[in-house]
Amino acid sequence: MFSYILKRVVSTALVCILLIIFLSLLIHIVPGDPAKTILGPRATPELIEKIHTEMGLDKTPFQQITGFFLNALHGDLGTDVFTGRPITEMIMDVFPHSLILTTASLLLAVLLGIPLGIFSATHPNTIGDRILAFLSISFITIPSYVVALIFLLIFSAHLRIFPVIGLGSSGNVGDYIMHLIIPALVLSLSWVGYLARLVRTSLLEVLNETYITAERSMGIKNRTLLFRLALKNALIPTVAVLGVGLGKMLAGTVFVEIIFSRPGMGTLIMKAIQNRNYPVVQGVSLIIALWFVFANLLADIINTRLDPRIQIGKTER
Amino acid sequence: MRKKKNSEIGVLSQLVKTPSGLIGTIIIALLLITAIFAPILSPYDFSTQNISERLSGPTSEHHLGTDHLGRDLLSRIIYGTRIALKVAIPAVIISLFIGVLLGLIAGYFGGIIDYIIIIILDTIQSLPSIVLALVMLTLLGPSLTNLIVVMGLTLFPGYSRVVRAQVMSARQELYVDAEKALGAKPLRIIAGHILPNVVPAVIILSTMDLPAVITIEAGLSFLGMGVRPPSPSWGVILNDGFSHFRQSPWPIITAGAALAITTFGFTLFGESLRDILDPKMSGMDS
Amino acid sequence: MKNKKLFKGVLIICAILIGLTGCSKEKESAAQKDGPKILKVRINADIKNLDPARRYSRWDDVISATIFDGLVSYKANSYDIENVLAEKFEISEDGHEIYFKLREGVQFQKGAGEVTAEDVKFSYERFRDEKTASAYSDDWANLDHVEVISKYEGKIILTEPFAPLMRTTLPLNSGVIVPKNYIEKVGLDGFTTDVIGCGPYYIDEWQPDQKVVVKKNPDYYGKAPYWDEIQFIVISDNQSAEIALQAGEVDFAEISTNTVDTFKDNPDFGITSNSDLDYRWIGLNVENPKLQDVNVRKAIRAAANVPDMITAAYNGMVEQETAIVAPGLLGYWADAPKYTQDLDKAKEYMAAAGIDSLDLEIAVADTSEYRVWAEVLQQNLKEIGINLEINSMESGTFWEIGDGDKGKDVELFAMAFQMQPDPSWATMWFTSDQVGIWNWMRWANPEFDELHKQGLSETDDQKRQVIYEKMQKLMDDDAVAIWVTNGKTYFAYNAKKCSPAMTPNNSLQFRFFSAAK
Repeated sequence: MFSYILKRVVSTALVCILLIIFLSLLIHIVPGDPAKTILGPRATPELIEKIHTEMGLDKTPFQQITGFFLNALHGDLGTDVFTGRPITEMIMDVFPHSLILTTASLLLAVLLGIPLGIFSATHPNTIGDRILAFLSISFITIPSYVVALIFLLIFSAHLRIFPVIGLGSSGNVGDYIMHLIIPALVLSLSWVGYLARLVRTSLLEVLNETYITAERSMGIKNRTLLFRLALKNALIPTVAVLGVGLGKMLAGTVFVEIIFSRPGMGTLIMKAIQNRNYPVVQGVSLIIALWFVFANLLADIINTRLDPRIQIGKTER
Repeated sequence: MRKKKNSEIGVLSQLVKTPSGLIGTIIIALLLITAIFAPILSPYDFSTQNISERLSGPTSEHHLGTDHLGRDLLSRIIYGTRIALKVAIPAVIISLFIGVLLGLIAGYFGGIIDYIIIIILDTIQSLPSIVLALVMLTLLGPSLTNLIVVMGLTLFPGYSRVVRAQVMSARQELYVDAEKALGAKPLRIIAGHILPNVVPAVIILSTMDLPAVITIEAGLSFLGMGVRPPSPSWGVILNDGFSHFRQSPWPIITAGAALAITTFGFTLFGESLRDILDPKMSGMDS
Repeated sequence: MKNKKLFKGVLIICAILIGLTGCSKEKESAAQKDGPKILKVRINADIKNLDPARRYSRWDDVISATIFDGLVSYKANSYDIENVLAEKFEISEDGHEIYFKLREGVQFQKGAGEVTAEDVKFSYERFRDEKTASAYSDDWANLDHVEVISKYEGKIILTEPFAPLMRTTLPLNSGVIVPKNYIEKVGLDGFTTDVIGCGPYYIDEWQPDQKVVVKKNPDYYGKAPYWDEIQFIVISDNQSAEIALQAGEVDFAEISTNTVDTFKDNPDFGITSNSDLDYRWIGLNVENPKLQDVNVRKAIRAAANVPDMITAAYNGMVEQETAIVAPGLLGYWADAPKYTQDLDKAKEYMAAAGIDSLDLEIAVADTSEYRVWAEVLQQNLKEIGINLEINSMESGTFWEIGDGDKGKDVELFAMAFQMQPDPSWATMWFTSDQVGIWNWMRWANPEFDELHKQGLSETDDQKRQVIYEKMQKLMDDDAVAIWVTNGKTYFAYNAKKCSPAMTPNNSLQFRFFSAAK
């Protein structure tokens, strides 16, 4: 177990190093200048030079990469040249919003997906099951930005039950939650589909196993048994999906954050790419990559605990 | 082996026996027909503007309404099918080629080569594909070709992993080692024994990848990094619609529906194909 | 049963959520009744730097204008200038010296001391200081130094007369006074978003990417503003802002030309708009072999249907622009030709150039506005045998294409420049030394260069008018650009709550915002 974790940590470090090298090289090739992008005609040559020096763009890629890592090890990702704010602070400001959005959507997915899956498994091959199967696939396949746009059409133009734009007024928890509901629902849809299908499959598998038939004949109450089994069996795939979901956090939130104008990791990196704000792009990418790798590791470990049949280190993802 | 039994016609006839396979096949057939016969099917040229009739809802002249330049939405959606397939199919082929190659190398040689490849795959996958594609497109500049290349480069790790796993399990089997001992060249072993085992999984994966590529392409176009105007990518139509959604919901509704139906059809098709080609893989989504 | 429990759980969570939101809504409305008067304003981008010398964006300008005062400033809703910090303000006859006397006893916010002539000297001279690296150093292009006469008196000494000084430098952000001692203490890095001025508002809170809050300066020496607190809320997207406005989440917002009608029809909202000063155009690179012939350029100009571009991109809510200097400004060329589509003429020009087909490319930054122009132009040019490819690129890439020799390859491009209310700000980018920098048309005309120099040092308005008209005519003769529009910014506001104020070029004057009229 320990050596497994060590191995994962080493490969995590390698992934991060490679990512930063990749990004640093890219920054040297990508056309576009941060000073000009933001200032347009106001960017004087002196100003451009100053911003380049502050961003460290005048150094060689090698110097940039080593410098970045030395600082990163101290928890310092650099400073945003334009506002003078530490990049770690910028990230910490928006990270919770993305995390809350993801968590809320996964919670919604659990609340909706598991009951749907149980229903399908207990009514296999009925019309209800068929409809749910199609619904699940549609949920999984329809792109999140299409759902987001449609919801924007519905809730902002016609049906004004939920506010959908922005985070809500700050310091107002209730307002924050109200603003969270629709974006979280949009993000949750595909996970609802996944969960419903996973729960159905794993549950049907158990139901077909013979020992249940045996126990049934011994007269144990049908329903109690079913639900105990159902929940227990739903747990493992759920945890796996939750792990993947948390890890893929950013992939989902980019569009939802843009369409609903929410601050978050997605909007932060998009804006940084557009403005050519290289230090911010690097810092945010590093955090995203770290987050992804650790979420996966965590999901793996929890999975092993839950299901002794899986041996750690042998799962290949 | 299994694949011998499944001639192409056999697979197809099995496919249409299940409801989901049938629906998937019909949707894909319709898409292909739409793409091929786009000039015949579309009532107008997709780029002809008529500013005075902009942003109208469905009328008898424009069955799905018009966009902000007064172009016929139905014609644009129809031509959009071409763009979706034009990007998705080559992109999947590129990622398939790179992915299979790297997967074979990693699985066959193992050891340090395998480790290096895995780290590269991890790195690519540690950033969401949309962000990675965005960064690379910024470098290359948006165009149809670049879009295809970037998508290919973003998505190949999936293939590598599947192929690598298959190769590893094939390697466990005795005959490969036996041939090795007999001095067969690696290429021969790969071509003769490993590749055939990998084919069904790769076919399934690439069918399932098509809707993913279409989704990302439209997403990038939605963010303004896709094909050049006036090419009617569904993502471009969505983007234009987003700017004018208070005046007319039709661009969003139509392009959204086109995307939803397409991804739905490909997924149904892919899953049914998987159930037929490789029942072991069913239930292993996510 | 387990599923019932689950169900109950969900119900309870829902109940809590509803309860929470209910409570908070009540609190909010109660606070609004007797609490401080709060104005909520939508801004479309976060602030970057509020230091007047290092500001970057429009919202940096607008917000820092509430915090800082200068010697003089524009009056509400006009370009007329009035004394603010200055008690006396006199320009010498030769235009080389400006004498000022400050009001006595004016205090900087947050206890940063009294405003003195030393602060004035510091505030202006730092624009020319390399360490400040100000993007606005040109505002003080002819500043020699500021001479301190006494604690409250001083003289601004110029190397030569500088016409834009009174028009744009002094009444706007480059003319405001910052606290010398405080900046020397905290350094440049300590004076970015946490700034101190002596204006009617002080900065209270900045939540990056969410909002900036300014509150009424209790010690303000001038007339106290109406609003106790202004919250500038970041909503980048226009659609979202319009929704927020309708939902009452903001009281004042810039809206897109597409939705003006929606708000016009609603009595709860007021609309205000002015033409912008910015100029937007499609440029033609005269150095490019394909466009060297003036007939080709004239053909393109005659084929372009600018009114269609305006309908499609702005819903017809803006005016067509005829030359770079906007209407209402000194230097506006009233008799400039207004081009509309004339395909016959365009074909004649093509024939004169001896060309019947041509492949061209237009570079546009990727925004829906420019893409629409390009798409309309594409259709227009098809009619005269020109095949126009649209190269829509991400803005970072776009800003680089005109650089140095690389700029020679540019063919057509869509562009917009910001402008201040003096014509020299429009002409300065098209002189020959700007070729390879911002003069992407690569149009070099010695006469134009000479006139630009004259215009800067001439102080007589009538003579300047003649100079700038002539310059615009030179540009027109060579058909280097298709002028599209100066643009027009529409603001919608909650008419039951507030009444806005702005200069004729849409510079918002929040200090003059009042209650509903």
